[in-house]
Amino acid sequence: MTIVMENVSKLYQDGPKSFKALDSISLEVKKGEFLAIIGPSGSGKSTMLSIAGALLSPTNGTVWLDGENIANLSSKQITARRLKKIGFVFQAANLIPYLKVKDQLTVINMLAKHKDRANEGALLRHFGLAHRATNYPNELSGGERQRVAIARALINDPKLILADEPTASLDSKRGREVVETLANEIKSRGKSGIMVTHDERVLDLCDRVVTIRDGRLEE
Amino acid sequence: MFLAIRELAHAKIRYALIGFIIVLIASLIFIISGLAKGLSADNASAIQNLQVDYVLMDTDAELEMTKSIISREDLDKVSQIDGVAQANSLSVRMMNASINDTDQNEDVALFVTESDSMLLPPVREGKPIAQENEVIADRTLQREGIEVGDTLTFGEQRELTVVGFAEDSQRYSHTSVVFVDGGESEHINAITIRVDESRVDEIRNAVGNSFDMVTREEALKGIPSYSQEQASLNMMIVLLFVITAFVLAAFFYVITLQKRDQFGVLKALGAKTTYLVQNLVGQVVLISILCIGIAVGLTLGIAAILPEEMPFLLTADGMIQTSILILIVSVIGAFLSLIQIVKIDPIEAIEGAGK
Repeated sequence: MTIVMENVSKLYQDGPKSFKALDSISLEVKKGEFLAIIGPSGSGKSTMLSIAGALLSPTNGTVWLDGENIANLSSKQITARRLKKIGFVFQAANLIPYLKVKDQLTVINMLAKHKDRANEGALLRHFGLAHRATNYPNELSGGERQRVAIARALINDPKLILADEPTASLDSKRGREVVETLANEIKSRGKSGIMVTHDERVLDLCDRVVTIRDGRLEE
Repeated sequence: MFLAIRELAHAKIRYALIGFIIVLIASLIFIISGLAKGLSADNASAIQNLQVDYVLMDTDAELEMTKSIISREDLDKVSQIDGVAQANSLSVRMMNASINDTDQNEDVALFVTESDSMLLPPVREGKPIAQENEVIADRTLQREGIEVGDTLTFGEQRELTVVGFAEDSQRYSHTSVVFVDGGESEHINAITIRVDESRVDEIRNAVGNSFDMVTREEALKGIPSYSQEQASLNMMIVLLFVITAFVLAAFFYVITLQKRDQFGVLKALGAKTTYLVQNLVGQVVLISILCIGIAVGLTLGIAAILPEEMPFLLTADGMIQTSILILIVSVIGAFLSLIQIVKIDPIEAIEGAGK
């Protein structure tokens, strides 16, 4: 199991009342499995993705990432785990506007202190972006931007890929292509994937779909 | 620095604008410093360049040399104190001299001392004084057309011959100084001494309370208007440093606000806060060094076209010190943005989460 969440709850204090964003959720994602999380706005799916991505710590419950309980780690160690074990694909790609496509990957390699950077060119070729290596993000199409974001998520060879509404800014055709790419990479490279989405037309590309409603999980 | 350099290269205009402001402020700092140094030298270089350790004045004079009255006996007593290597008298007379008995008049400050005095400056043109009616003059008098061999006449009775020009600048109270041998005159203004530094306290005790024993730097305060001149210019310089800090603080604060999302994403992707902070400081340092460099060039250019009479003095030491200070102030200015970067939560990369 790449990621295991056991009875995870998240409470927010809203004035005198407390609000339960997640209510005792348990979930596992296997190697090579691509899970989709759907649900209405405010249902808690972003909160869940953030907890899975070690961006947020749960109020109760345990999160095991690659066999390690991340609750026991310092914030520095958690940053290091995010760098090495998790690849993120955000809404609207969120590429750094002043970095050329290749540098988007280089910066992650530098953060991870990788000396060998051959994978940058290889990944760009793999995603058909080699001719775009020296372009800035604003010169790319929406689909190209998301492909760069996927390449960036894969550059450190992480165990877990998390995608937050990756199709949000794309038309249905491009959106489907992006999710297809994600699904293929997760399968062929033996990663685990979790995607939060509104887009029901791409759910057939996922191995499993769970729904969150009011902080509770419905399979 | 990876991010810092790429961002500067990508957003050239934005950073060029702030750079332009920093260049202007830095130039202004250099120019006002040059003016302060120039005025200081014009007012007091004759005192600053005295080859002595301490100056003794009558306590009642409150460091104003022309008001201090000391008798020659006191000079003899001071020169006998253990640890005093040499003692010479110094008297200052502000006079108006007519040149070669013509209509040309120049204000001069007569620095009267003994013929073998350590106060007499090295000569760069002409020869040292040998007789009582010979003087060494400040080189600014050369600009007024005075040459070696010219005579300076003071009123009816006294005629002095210029025999040499001093090596270093010799100005007092914005007036050219001429050094003259005063013989054994009864009343003098000040006693100057060279001492064995390890025995300064003993010497102070021996000198007693009727004299103020001060360093050359302290003696400057007694020159009329010296402190006021320097204080007003120094206040401008301090304000410019404060302005530099605030301009940079405001600029980088706004830029950092705009980049919140990017910092959130980078942190989520695994960038440590220290890495992001290093990049910001790197940017500030790069911009500052570049701007200071341009400002130095600009200032030297301006200095080259200033008229020679203008009291303006740039020293390598002073410029290096000022440059380092501007750099430090710039980094302090970026501090507000550093706090912001530290505070940004990586969860901001996920829309709608955490709230």
